[in-house]
Amino acid sequence: MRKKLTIHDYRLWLVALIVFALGACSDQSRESAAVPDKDWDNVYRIRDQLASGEGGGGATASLQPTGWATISGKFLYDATSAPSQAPIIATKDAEVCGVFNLRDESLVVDPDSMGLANVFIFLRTPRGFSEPHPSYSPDTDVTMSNKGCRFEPHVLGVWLPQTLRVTNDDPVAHNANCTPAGDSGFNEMLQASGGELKASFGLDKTSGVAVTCTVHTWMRGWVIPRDNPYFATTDAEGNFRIENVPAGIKLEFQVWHERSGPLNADATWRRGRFSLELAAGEERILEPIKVNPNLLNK
Amino acid sequence: MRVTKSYSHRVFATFAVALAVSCIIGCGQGSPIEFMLNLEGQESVEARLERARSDLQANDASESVIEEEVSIRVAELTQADFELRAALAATFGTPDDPFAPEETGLKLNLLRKAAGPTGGKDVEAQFDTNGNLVENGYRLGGLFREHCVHCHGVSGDGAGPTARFLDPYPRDFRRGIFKFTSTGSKQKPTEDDLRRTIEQGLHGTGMQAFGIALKPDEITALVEYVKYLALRGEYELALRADLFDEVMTVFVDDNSIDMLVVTNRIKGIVNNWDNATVTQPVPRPIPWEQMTEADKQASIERGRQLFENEGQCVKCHGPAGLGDGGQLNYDDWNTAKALVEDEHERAEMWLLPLQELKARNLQLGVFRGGRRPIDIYRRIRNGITGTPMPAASILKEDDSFGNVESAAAQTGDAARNDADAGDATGADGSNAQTGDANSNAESGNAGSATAGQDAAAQTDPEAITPQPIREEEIWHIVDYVLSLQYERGFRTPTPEIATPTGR
Ligand code: HEC
Ligand code: HEC
Repeated sequence: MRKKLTIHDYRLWLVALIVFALGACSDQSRESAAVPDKDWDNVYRIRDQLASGEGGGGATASLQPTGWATISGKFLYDATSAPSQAPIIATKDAEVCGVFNLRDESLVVDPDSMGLANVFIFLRTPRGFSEPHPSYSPDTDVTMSNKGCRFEPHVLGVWLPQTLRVTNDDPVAHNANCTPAGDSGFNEMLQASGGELKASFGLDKTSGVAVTCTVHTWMRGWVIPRDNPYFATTDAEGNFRIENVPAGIKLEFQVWHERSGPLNADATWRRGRFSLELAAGEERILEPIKVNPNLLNK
Repeated sequence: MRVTKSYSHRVFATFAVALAVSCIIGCGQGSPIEFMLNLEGQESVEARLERARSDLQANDASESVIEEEVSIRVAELTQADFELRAALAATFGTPDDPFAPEETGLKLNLLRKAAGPTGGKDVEAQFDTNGNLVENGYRLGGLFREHCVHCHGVSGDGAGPTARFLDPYPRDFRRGIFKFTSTGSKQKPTEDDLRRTIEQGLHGTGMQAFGIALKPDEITALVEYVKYLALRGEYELALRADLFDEVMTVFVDDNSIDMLVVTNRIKGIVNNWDNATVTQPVPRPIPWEQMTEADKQASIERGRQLFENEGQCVKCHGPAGLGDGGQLNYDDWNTAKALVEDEHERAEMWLLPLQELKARNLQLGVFRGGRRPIDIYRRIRNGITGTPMPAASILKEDDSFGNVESAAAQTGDAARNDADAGDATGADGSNAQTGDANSNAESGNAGSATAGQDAAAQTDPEAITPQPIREEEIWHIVDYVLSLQYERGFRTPTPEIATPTGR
């Protein structure tokens, strides 16, 4: 007759030992930031460069544009009919917000022209280029208002030296909350009919940072802080226009939409970017850019 | 028969012992304590490749183009990972060998006192191949691992083994966000703020007071180490975005990160910390010692009005301050976790389950950030960073009525406000607004303001159009908030607030 497995049976202890030992190793699915021994030379090199204040990458000569140019274009939703915007139910302050016929604004297409609204197109600052055209002034404030229990505009670029004003035109109090990674952002109450806050950003971004209202949780707008003033958000018909762009320099533009992140509207674009160069005084009108709906169905 | 059986036993036993030993030794030696990568809410490599692939498919790219692009991406991501690790180790070192570049202002001797294994460890002097002294020997103090790690984790991710049992979870330092500061809205803490947290703890949370257990110089070292983990964490997130999303690497020679990016990031992050300014409160309309009992009651009553109307506190804290005013979802740390939508996937990444946030039950009289009036004043004026609790909107003294100035923008002027406050304490200072708050909305907005009153009137017959609060009026709210803890017992709860839901 086979002996019952008891606490004295060494097999039990062996199994327990294995289980324990495997358990001791189980912290493997988190990824350690460790640097393999063979790569430490690289680590010390970076550390030395940091200490010596070496910029690395070689000194960047300053880039002077040969003149200024204008670029404009149009984003089209490449389908036969515009997608519908789901209605939003005002769960708070329904008496005020309920009357505005609120709708989801994450994808807005003009049913007549099929123009794609709220596409943000911006210039990635060319290395060594620092002086934008004087028509751009850091002293002009930009405003995002709480209007009809939504943010207007929905997508807003802010040049770093500019001041962002968030205002409240609604007869209810709102709150504007914005938390960009690595930057301070803001979170303040905005009194009804006239509340306002002023904020500025210290860090540029290449994708939208959400502005929300903790009281009215459906509200969502986007700001994109940029380190140069060359950017535009497409209007209701999908049009954009950027003036006084540096000419004679290789320019890299990037395109962002809240549904896609970087928008690769064309097979030749990578990370939502495309490059071109403009001649001084040129007025470049891009071919209409057709956006495949599959890129936006996130 | 017998022989084979005992033979098989022996094989089994040998195998088992060998496996166990190799596992334990392999683990112990192969993986010393290391910082972990912060992958919270980050898109995985697979997801990135999938996105590149599906974008190209949507644009009708051919299969060979897609495959080529994917292989380029794989190379880029591998490079980005390599450089992120190298830059992190170069800039901040490891848990047993911390480092900090000069720009950060962090002091290496303090970091070493806090870093290293529990119980401390002596590190021998180092000599180069010619026998010249490179660095003196020193001692690692091991304080952080001894006292803090079981909650805050080696990397400061707030996910140590004890974390799962706590609500709120221990702070994840890696976003550089701190709740209880003396500085302006959304600003970084000062060293004194961190020191106060460590010495006195955060009441009502798992964060205990270490002021008795630790010596002042040990706390100094821990303050430095918390700041170190925060800077390191912010730097990792910024650099990850640069390397993985922006591909901001310039391959100067074989493998080299763009040093301009590295130094700019460090400077930008340190700048935020350096720019934090302490909010000096304006004096009370009447100093507390000089207030009669009637004055105190009047102040509390005015505070109640502000709490319910102008301050909009009821929206979250509820009419009796029970924390049942409205639905909130998460604090900033849980929001980041929630980006990984699937609960199972979160667990796989070792992320703690999501923890919902409620506005505080103010009747409990437990204040995490301190219960001195000045602490409550700062909470109300500047909000609680990392949570939905907003900064109050404040009327600037020298502005015309109705012109609201952001508390954040104002903090720089704190000292000036202080100087001005002399006039503000005048007899009319505090109560001027009580009676005629409604009449201030006129200029320009008259139309919508009236509409607002009508609309608000439907919801709550008593509602008035909220107005910005005068800075010294915050003291009334403070008095009211502090009085709420005595509410229990003598105020009969209205039916809808009969069940306290706040903590
Ligand atoms: C028992 C668990 C536990 C231990 C041990 C612990 N903490 Fe905490 N700590 C917490 C919790 C929980 C919070 C978050 C409280 C909250 O969110 O309100 C916190 C928050 C903090 C904060 C953030 C305060 C703020 O303003 O946001 C700091 C700094 C901190 N801890 C430092 C330390 C240090 C240093 C040690 C070791 C000496 C330590 N903690 C040990 C649980 C712990
Ligand atoms: C948008 C929602 C919201 C609003 C509006 C709000 N609070 Fe809060 N409040 C919170 C949350 C959430 C917390 C808990 C924060 C935390 O995790 O510690 C909190 C915490 C507090 C605390 C506790 C601080 C501590 O040290 O523990 C006080 C006091 C407080 N609030 C007072 C107020 C007052 C007064 C107002 C109005 C001027 C107000 N709150 C408006 C959400 C809000």
